[in-house]
Amino acid sequence: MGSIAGTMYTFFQNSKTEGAYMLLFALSIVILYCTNRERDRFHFVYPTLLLLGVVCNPVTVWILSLIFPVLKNYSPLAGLIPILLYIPYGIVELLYIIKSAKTQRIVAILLFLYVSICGNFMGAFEGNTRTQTNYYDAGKKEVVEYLETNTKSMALADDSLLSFISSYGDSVPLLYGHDLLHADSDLGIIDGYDYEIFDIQRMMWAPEIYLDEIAKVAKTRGCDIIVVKNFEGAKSYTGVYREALTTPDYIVYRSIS
Amino acid sequence: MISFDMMNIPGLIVVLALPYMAGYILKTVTLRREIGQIETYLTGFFFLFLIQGAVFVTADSFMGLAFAGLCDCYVGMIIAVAAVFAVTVIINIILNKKRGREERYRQKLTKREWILISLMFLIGILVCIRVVGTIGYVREDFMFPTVKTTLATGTVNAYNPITSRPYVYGIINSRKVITLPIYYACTCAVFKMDPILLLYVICTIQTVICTYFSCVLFIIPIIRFRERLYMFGIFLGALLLSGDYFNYAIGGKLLWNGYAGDTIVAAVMLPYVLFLIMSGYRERRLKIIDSLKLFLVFFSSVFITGVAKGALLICITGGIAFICCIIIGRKGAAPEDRTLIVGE
Repeated sequence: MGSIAGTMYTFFQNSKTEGAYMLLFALSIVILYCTNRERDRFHFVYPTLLLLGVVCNPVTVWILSLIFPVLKNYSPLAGLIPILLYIPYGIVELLYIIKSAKTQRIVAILLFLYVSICGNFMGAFEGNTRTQTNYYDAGKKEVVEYLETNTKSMALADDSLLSFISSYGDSVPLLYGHDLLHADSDLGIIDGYDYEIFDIQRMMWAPEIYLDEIAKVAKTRGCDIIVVKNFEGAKSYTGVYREALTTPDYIVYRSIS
Repeated sequence: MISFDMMNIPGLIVVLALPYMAGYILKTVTLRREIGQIETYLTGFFFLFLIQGAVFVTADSFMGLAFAGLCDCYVGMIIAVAAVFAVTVIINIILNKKRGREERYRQKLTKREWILISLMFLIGILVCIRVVGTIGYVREDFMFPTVKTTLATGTVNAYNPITSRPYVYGIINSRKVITLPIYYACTCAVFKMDPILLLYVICTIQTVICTYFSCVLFIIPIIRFRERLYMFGIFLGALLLSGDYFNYAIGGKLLWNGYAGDTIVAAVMLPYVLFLIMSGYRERRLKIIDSLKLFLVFFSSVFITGVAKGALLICITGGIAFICCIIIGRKGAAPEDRTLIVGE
């Protein structure tokens, strides 16, 4: 029971740092339970609780992940949580309990402010999941600009950079693209990659251990640039590659020859 | 930001109006005149996805058309829909004149309702402005590079723009990747639109509109008071405007990935499916027309997201809602009345 609660807590923490909207969602269910008649509870409250019981249940995800590898985590199922429907409906029900029009207006404005501040109203508030700073990543951009100007034959890049390169630097040829990341989860062969490519990708997760092996394979595959995550004690050269650019997040190695 | 060169006003109007035309044709063909304008737009929206999926998959799998050929098919589809729509409207006008048009009794809005509806409209415009504002951040996704590559190379099969390997391997993924990006690429090519404008603004705004429609459609039989409905719309808009709030929830996805298949499934199709099931339950029977609509939504979702995700989500939600109805039984079920009440 404790582990399930822990999993759920982690899930919510990962999904939304502050959890303010989940709180509003939970409150709206309580409000709807209190304000709705028995008949409407059967339509709205109980099915939602059942839906939450199924969707937010680690057992469901585990069973489904056995059948559909695409459901390795909660994220596809989390979209089923009907936040968009329930929060406004709960707020409306709450507002129309209040008889005085003046109080109703004040409560409506306060709730509107709460919804806005907890989110990112018109992009005005920081601290949410997709603000300019964390989406348009300056560190990534620097690396991609370097790749665009310096890649002659092919580059091998860290997983976190792959999709960024496809958007910003679509002229950079890569040993593998971000389609490889979905190879396990779409029940089919996405691309014609061989097993060695999958091995390199796994080695790229731990460059502090496998950097020399990565360099060897990359050389045989014809890559002239390798981009790995920055780590402590990184060498300035490995095999025929030497360090060409270092950012707080990445190290770019370039072939000498 | 958007420059004037990227704009193609006729193209924009056609893209936004096409779902309504398709929905109107469906409504007339199925002789369901009581279907409202909102539902007409939504059914047309799904119907178009179904048509484009069917056309593109068939053309690609069996006819082996080039991209230019697919664009021709797409133009043909648009002309056919527009022509049938025009004919249907003319026939309906003539029939209405013959039968004598029914006098519609429109209830006047109260002052408070006018204020609320104005606020709702204002928030809708702000949502659109926010969508335009997000264009500054190029997305990290499959769709945009694939559309760009399709336009650049003129190939039917989508290619990974980076590795240059085709996306045709694997049954599920090939269908998933081919249909929607090719559809967007055709739209760009036919209307001479910039893919940035189409994907990040027009399609996203269309999805936001459909989400509004879908949620409102779902909530109308439950709320029933017009004033409350507008209040619901205002707070729904507030959630969309603050839409970065929850990484995996729909509000956030709508602003950033409104053109993607899984967002459309989760934001537009799921409330609509729930509405259909709920309506069936409240009316104590699922009509044939509702089954057809469910079928339409189901296959549209398959075409735009692939079997592994969209259809699965639809099945899970539909299944849970259906099981709920069975478990709960028919206790308290009452015939649905969608007439909105003015005032409180």
